[in-house]
Amino acid sequence: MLRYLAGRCAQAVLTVFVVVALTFVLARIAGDPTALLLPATATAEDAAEFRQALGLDRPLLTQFVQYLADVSRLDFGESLRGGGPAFDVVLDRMPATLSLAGISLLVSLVLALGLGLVVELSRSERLRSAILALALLREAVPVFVFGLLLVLVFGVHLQWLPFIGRDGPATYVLPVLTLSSMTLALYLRILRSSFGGEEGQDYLRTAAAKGASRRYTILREALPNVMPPFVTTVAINLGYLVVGSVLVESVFSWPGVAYTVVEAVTQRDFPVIQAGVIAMAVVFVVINLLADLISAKLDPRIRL
Amino acid sequence: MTVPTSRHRRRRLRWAAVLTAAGIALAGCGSGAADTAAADGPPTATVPLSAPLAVINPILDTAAGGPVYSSMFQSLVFNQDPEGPVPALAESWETSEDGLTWTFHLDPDAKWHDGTQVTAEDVVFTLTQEQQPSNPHAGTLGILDRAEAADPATVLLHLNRPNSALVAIIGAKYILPKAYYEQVGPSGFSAAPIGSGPFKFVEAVAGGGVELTRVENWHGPEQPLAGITFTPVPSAQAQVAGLQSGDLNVVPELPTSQAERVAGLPGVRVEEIGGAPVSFIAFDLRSGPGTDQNFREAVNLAVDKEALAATVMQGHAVPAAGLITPPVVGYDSTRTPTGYDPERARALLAESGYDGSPIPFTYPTSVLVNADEMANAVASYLSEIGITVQPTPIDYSTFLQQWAGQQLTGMYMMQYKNGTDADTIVSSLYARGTRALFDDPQVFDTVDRSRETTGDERLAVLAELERQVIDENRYYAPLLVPNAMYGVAEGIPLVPNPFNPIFVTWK
Repeated sequence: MLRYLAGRCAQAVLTVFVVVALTFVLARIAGDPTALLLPATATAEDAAEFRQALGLDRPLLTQFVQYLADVSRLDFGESLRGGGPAFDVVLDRMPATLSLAGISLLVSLVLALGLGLVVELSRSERLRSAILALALLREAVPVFVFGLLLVLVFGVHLQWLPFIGRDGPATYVLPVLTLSSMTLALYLRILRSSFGGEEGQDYLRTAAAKGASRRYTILREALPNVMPPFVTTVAINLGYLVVGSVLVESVFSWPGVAYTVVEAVTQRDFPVIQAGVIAMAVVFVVINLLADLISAKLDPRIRL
Repeated sequence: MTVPTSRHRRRRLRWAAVLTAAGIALAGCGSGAADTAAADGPPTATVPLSAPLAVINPILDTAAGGPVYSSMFQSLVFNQDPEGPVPALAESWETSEDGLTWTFHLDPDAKWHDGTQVTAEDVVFTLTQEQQPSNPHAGTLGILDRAEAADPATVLLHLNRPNSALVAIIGAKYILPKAYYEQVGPSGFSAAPIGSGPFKFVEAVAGGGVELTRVENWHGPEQPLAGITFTPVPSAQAQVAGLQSGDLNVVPELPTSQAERVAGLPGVRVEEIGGAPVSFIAFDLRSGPGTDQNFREAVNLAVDKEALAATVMQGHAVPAAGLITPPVVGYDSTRTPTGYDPERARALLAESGYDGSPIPFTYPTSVLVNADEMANAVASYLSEIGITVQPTPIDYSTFLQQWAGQQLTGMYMMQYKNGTDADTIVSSLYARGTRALFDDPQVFDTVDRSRETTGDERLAVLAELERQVIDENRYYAPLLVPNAMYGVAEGIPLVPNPFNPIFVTWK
């Protein structure tokens, strides 16, 4: 297990390093921020002085080496828009993103497991088809369209729920519903195929022959074997949550990291782009690492 | 081991339904319309910002803070009144004979929100900060040699060359309290800013907004709003939805496509006024067909601006006669837009030697109102006289970078925001060493004269400048002047401003 753990940690560190390097390169490819930060009345001399003051006139390699040294100290520099240390800007927005993603993940897991188990326990093909059809219908609608539909129905017409910003529990309802329902169909399909794979296995027939109820065989016998592939799928699809949060944060004016990074890209605010992308990558890598470890714990074959 | 019966299952499902309904109902309690009016007294307003505030600091910020800053801070003069500069921190001002020294006399009643006096040192400090090379506003103060506090109530601005637009330029500089700023630093100031404007800071709103409340006994006119909450809502659609649901009270920069629908909403009105921005076509004057004046004139005559205003802009714009627009100081009211004359355009095109090759036609996807529709309509008009263009939409940031780097080839279309004085356009698009793609000593000489002259003489020089750039040389083809439109909730007093969304009263 220790060897497996060490291997996975090394992979995680390498992934973060690649992200750090790519972030620097991609931000520079996006272009010179001077034109966006200075007014059109600024002369070429003004632009040159400004570039020099920000260190943007130095060779790229010099900037990269300095950048790596700074990142290792969690120093991403000052926001070019005057927002103070870039890492602080990102840290300030991190709770909004983590709480939205965390609650959405929890809700989608509870919904998927709850509905999946209801379907398995009921043995109703009609119920199974109805739930899966609804989930597929939801999956077919792009995230931002679904979010806007919720805004129009529950925010504008019914006026039941707020849809702007993050201000109290009620503001979570629509963004969480949008994000959590995004992967529901996938999770339900994984659960169904996993349960289907277990059906007819000797250990389940033996339990049934010994007089165990269906509820017992599903919950106590089949479920533990269904969980490892389910957890792995959830871990792999955490990326969708990150991608989805960019759109959801934009639709609901949610003050999160993804939204901040998108704004920073528009403004070519390199320090905030770098801090935001790296922070999200670290969160993503750590969650994946944890998911791998949980999978390994649940299924000993994985760590062999 | 017990197997639940169907009766048990039904009961559980009923509970689940009840809990879900209760959850939705409880969640709904958190919503509600924005508080537009206190039980008695003036109303408060919730206003969207197009982007979150990264910082509340006008000397460092370059982005979304405009309406916040004009509410919290003051300049020496208020320069966003269409009728001309209005005293703000300075109650009067005068210039020396040679135009190189300007004297501003501060209003003795002007106080910071902590009750301390606004002094000349504060003005000198702020302007000096903005002159630093690393400051993003440095390029706007190129004419200022140095600022000097002659006494606590008198500021001298020494210029390196005369510029009669100084009052307009300095009117865009919000003054900060030197002592407090130095005491708390930029971060501390952003966390708890102090200004001298009609509204003061209450608290930051999560995600880059701010709540302000009216300053009692402010030295200027009494404000019709008791408070303003600015909250970031970047999407125009979400802003309109917020106005409809009551979460927002104002939508500044209402899209033309939404104007009719918003006007039909109960409890909402649309305020509209002739705007200051101008859309135009510019040419690569270094190579390609744009180097030929006949070609440029043909483009000018080929586009029916009246029809563009009526169809693409649904009547919420007027044809532009030049790049200096009607609300701007320096506008020549005798000018008329270039007419629509496809026959003459075809003749000029034939003389130009244009060989029919496709021409890049770049435009930004935002800022330019109804960008795609405008580009397609213009391309269609040009096609009618035989000019083939390739409309290429790019995001606004990339467009600005390419524009600044003079990398745009062929033709491009954009919208530029006029300041209150013609010098904004002159400094950006007509003067030597800026975004001007032409090298025309006659025009540059007229630019210099526009800065050295004053009063009616200056207006005549600016009119001459527009004639040279637009009529004689066709360096730019003006298109439209879009109206400034606001969606406003009932009970919210708002006087539409052609330059920027302003929520304060200065008269």
